[in-house]
Amino acid sequence: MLAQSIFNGLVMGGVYALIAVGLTIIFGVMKVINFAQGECLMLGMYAAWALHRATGLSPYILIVPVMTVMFLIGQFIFSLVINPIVGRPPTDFVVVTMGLAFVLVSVIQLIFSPTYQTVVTTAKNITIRLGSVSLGTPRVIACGVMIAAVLAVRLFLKKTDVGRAMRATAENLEVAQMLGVNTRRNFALAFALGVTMAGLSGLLLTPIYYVFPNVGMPFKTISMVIVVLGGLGSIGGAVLGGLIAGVVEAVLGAYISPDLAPAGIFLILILVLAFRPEGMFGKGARKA
Amino acid sequence: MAAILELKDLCKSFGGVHAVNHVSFKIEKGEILGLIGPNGSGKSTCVNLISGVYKADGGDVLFEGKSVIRTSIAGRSRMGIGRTFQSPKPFTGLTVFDSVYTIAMQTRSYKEASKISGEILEQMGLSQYEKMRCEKLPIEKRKWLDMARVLVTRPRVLLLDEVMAGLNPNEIDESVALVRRVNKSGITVLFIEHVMKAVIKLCSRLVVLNDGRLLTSGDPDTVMNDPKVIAAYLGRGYHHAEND
Repeated sequence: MLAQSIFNGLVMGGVYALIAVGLTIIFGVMKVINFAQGECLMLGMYAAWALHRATGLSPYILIVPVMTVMFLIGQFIFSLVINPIVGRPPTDFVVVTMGLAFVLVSVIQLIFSPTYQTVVTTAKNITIRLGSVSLGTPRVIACGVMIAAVLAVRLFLKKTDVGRAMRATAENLEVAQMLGVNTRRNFALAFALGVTMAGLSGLLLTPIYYVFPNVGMPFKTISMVIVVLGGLGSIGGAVLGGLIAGVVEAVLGAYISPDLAPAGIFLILILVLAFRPEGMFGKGARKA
Repeated sequence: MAAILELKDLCKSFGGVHAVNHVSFKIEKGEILGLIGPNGSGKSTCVNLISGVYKADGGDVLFEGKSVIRTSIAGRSRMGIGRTFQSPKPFTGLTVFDSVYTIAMQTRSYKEASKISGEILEQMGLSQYEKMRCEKLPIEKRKWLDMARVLVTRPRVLLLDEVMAGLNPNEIDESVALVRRVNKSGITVLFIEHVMKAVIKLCSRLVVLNDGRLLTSGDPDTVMNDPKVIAAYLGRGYHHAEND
């Protein structure tokens, strides 16, 4: 039972990690937290559900179209809401993104109603067996896609010209600006990429969860905990934090009570922060 | 000669401290102007005001006759105002080559950026460190990396903020030659420095700040023998040491 719980936790942790990676990319470059990240996940779920309804295709085949839609939504939100407050105090960003979260939920409720929707896939009925452990295919696929997405993001940041410019912006915004780096474009890209990651997580969750306007709320909370646990701005930290959160949640859920799972994750967070206030892989406050 | 950069009645305070207090001076096109003064006299604040890091409380900065006081940091960089930093600020996560190449790529094609980055790193004596991560680069080399990065932005005015601090006499000589080469390539230089040997070798004019105010300006000989400059900055022992 323990092995089963750990494996369940690891695959669910993969999804948490992907949401947290999106949040981390935004924080890493812009040094702000997107409080609408959970709602972006919800948009990804609705995009997957709507495209699935319209085409009849499996959500897994719709990964590229949904990611494209989410990237464009991210760019649109950046231009409309985020760009005007770039350079303003971080509290402005908190208020604006919280407001954005409410607006997104309300708009989706108006368009699709608060009714719970489902996405049916054949993968849902297939179970993968690893010795005594059995795992639901959607969760395994979600974990696999997470690994591929995180590797792709790392490759993008390390090996491409745009990625290197984003890292330069992330490391020292003022110096990057003084050297003529187009930091505004990098902010827009980081934000859109973060939203895309949240949307991809949403798509991967559609075969597992109901699709409804407030579905993003618990994921938002947990992804913020994971980002702090892993260390603000660290992609590796977000992945490890996600996996730890998934395992803690699954083991506590199996052995004590599912209601205690969030408390266990917060307890781990408190313990880590007591010994490493910058999180597991955080570098602490950067000096200008 | 026409002024490429002009500070007009520039003011900046931090709380009750007047870091720059009604300072005005011009930098002529093509010259190396030395900006000297004791620590805390307002030299670096002037550089930060010119490059846009600080917003001025009053006064103006003119670049080629046009006010840039409301222009963003990036905008000033694009116009041709480049700077280095008193404490080098490398992009620690990138390699030496990538940190120059990433800047070069902002305005050039891949091929051109790659070529110019290699050339400038060679000029700065950093070719052997190309693949090294900047965080591992020796401290004294980081200043030249700062310089390499700013040179690929094609600056027309270069603000060099204490690039020679901590260098040994040989390195200072090499650095003097390097700054001269940069200037000969058509780049006007504002040279902020405490190493007087380098200041005298390089600068055609000097501006002296003290307590945030302009103390005096003129050719190096006149300025170095000015009793006000000796009292406020150089000290009486300076000329004795020079004569020894």
